[in-house]
Amino acid sequence: MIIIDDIYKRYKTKDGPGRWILNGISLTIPSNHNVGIIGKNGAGKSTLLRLIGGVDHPTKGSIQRKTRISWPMGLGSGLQPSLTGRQNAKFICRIYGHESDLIDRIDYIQDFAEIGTAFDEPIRTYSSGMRSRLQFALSLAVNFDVYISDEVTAAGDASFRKKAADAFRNLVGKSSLIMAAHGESTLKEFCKSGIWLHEGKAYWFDDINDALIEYKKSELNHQIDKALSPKLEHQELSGISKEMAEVLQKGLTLLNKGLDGCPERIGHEEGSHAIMAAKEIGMNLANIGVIKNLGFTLLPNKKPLLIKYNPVADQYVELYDVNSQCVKAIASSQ
Amino acid sequence: MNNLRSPLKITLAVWKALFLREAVTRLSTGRAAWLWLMLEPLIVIIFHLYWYSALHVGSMYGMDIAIWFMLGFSGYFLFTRVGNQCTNAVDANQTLFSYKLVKPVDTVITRACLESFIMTVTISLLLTTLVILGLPIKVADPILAICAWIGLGLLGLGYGLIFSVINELIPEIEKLLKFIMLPLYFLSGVLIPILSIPKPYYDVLMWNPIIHGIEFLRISFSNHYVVAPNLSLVYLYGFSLTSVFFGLALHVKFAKKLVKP
Repeated sequence: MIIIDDIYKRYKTKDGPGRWILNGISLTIPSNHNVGIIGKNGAGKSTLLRLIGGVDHPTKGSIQRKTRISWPMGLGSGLQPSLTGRQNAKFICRIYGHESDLIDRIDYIQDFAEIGTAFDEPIRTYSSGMRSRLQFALSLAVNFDVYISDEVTAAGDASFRKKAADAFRNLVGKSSLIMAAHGESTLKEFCKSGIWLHEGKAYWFDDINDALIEYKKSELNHQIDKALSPKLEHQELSGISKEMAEVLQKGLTLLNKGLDGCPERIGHEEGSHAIMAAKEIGMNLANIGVIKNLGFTLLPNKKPLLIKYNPVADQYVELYDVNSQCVKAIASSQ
Repeated sequence: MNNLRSPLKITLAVWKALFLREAVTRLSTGRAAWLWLMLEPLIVIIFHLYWYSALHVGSMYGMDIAIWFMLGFSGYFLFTRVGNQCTNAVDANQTLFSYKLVKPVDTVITRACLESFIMTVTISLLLTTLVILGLPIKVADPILAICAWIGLGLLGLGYGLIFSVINELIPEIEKLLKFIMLPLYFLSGVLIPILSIPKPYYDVLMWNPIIHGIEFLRISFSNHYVVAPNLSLVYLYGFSLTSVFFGLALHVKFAKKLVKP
């Protein structure tokens, strides 16, 4: 279990202290629980991972970790350029107490990294791809309870990415994973829960999908605000037209009510707005199977996001997010 | 989760790994790096021997001039090498702090151990060479020799611990330090015998703990060497241990500031 207690972080800049990158974050990450960290560039994902990994210290607050946590895998330093891959590998195995089976671990690293004879060349001669292969192999060679991965799966070529993903799958049950990744599919595959970093605050979601939706909603809101801004240059940068932005805004408002647990009864046109907005944030609104009359809920454990009127059949249809794991589970059990 | 290693075990593992790693870099970077480590003090000693013999100085207060020089330089080199290596340790090992088990103070301590080890090997080789060359070397008081040697090493460690922190916090100090360290060479009794210094200046110079270390080293190698007044092992150890503890305290206080993001 990792307990993050009200941490703040800012870096020193040339002109004194910089902005608060993390601004009062409290989280408890349970053991054996894979967590994805979501947020836009500069939101503090890497900073948070570095703090959890103990590479850096918070400006204020404390982090308790009574487990063996890896350094942030992937991008980053930690390899001495003048020494060879093998020498670096030996050093790391030694500091983590794998002295007795050093040879086996070195063999494993050499096998996994697949960098051939370069393993006995100085690190400074390595390409960035070779470096990340070696770094990844190094972190897997050491036994940790929690592995911290900062965009690991984004590094290297296709075969390496596949290998990395396979290695993560093998960790399931033995160790847990805290990861930041740009790829949504990677996050969805490996992580159960999510942490959304936004404007220095952290929001915990038990389900990674909810975290992703919340993140994309905030991004879409930002885009809409830009498109509707009176300044012309903002409108051009937003990438969507003003009309589109208005439609999406209406749709989002309806969706938000549904997400808050009070679904709106809406007409056909409003429904199409909501469906468009839902697509933008990675939800897929649809009625599940049979059309039901109002007052009778198809999925008793889950409230619909919207209740749409169908004028042809003169009936109300309940719309759910069919991508949601929860809806999938309930629907398949019926 | 339940097989976490104890802090002591972790620290010892880190020290061992760091020591081996430092040894590899120190002895293998550059062509025949290990040879230069040994040759450097030797060349300095031979150079000075040459012009002292040109001045027809054969012995120094009852000690053969070659041995006198060798002990003085070795002792001084032990202090400066340990000191300088330790001072640069934190800066040179920044990459390692991405493993949270490695603390800045670990790199300083292991460098001190490695450098003292190298210097001990060097002085042993030098002594053996001089014996083979037929110089009458006899260690009169081996325990005193070891005490003086360790005292000088500790002095270097204390210096290194303190300035490894201060140089990181206030980089300008480093330049100032170079000016201060320059005359230290002449004020430590390496070239100029401390007994030849007249009274009021002598007392001032005796504040320098390096002199105590070097003189005791010389005393331990001869029964006839003239013992300078006011020499004190207690002062040497008092000074070096105080600086070691002060340096450790600085490392505890500023540990977080030494790791650059």
